[in-house]
Amino acid sequence: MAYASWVNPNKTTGNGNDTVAWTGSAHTGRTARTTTATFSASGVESKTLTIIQAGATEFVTIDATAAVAKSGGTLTITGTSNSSKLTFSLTGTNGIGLVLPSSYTANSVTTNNGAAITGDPGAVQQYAFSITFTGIDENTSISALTSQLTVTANGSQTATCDITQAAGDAYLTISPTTINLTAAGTAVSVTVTSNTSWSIS
Amino acid sequence: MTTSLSWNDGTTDKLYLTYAASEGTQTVAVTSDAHTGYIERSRDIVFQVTAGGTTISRTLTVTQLGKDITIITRNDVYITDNEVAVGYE
Repeated sequence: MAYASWVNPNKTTGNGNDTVAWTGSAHTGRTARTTTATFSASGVESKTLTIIQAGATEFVTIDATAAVAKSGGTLTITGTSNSSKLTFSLTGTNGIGLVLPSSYTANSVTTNNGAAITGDPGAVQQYAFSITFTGIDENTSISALTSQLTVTANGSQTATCDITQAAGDAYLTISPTTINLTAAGTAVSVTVTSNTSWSIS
Repeated sequence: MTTSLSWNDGTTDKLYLTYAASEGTQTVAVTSDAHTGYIERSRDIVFQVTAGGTTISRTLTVTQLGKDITIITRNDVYITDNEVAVGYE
């Protein structure tokens, strides 16, 4: 039986006593994987070598930062993991006013937030995931806004993404733009609408 | 707070704008010293914000009506309310 492609011997032929060194490609899945290699020689019984590669520690990573346009819209944040389950939450001050989606995509499969991922792809190798926020409101303030997304793996490993929305544009309106005062100077009201401090001159 | 502005009409009369704070959205009350002249007067008031290197201005035009002219006729002489004869008929 041929050995798996994730192992590589430093030689495949030899003569007499010798040593064969085996190396393996990085294993990102949580569970150990096994393959066998068969040594054959003419006139003797074949011998089988079993090679076991340990599983990787459970992990989750996510984009460290993400940016939302001041006009709002859609934001997709990506990461990788080998966990069997991911749970997303908004942590800290949610200045942007993000609404957490009920689902995300793990290994190209739509998965409910906090639910076990179908087929547990992380058991055999790491997978990519993404979560998309839609309908993000425009930033109507003149200050940048921030929120933070935290993803927690089944084994409680966490990763966070700091999200920033660019500052909005300043605006200023007055209504009405023309007023008439009586000769006595009786007060007339004018409504000033702005998202920042204004001055009169 | 109240900001006073000159009418720039050669008098010492002032316009007064009263508001809670010069930030955000609010109502500004515009008042004036009484106008004792007969001709209406106007001036533009500029509201301005500066943020992110951008300046936005909006102009409020304030017009104050002149004092009503009271005309009294006496023996066919027209007299204003300060009793200055202004004409004959």
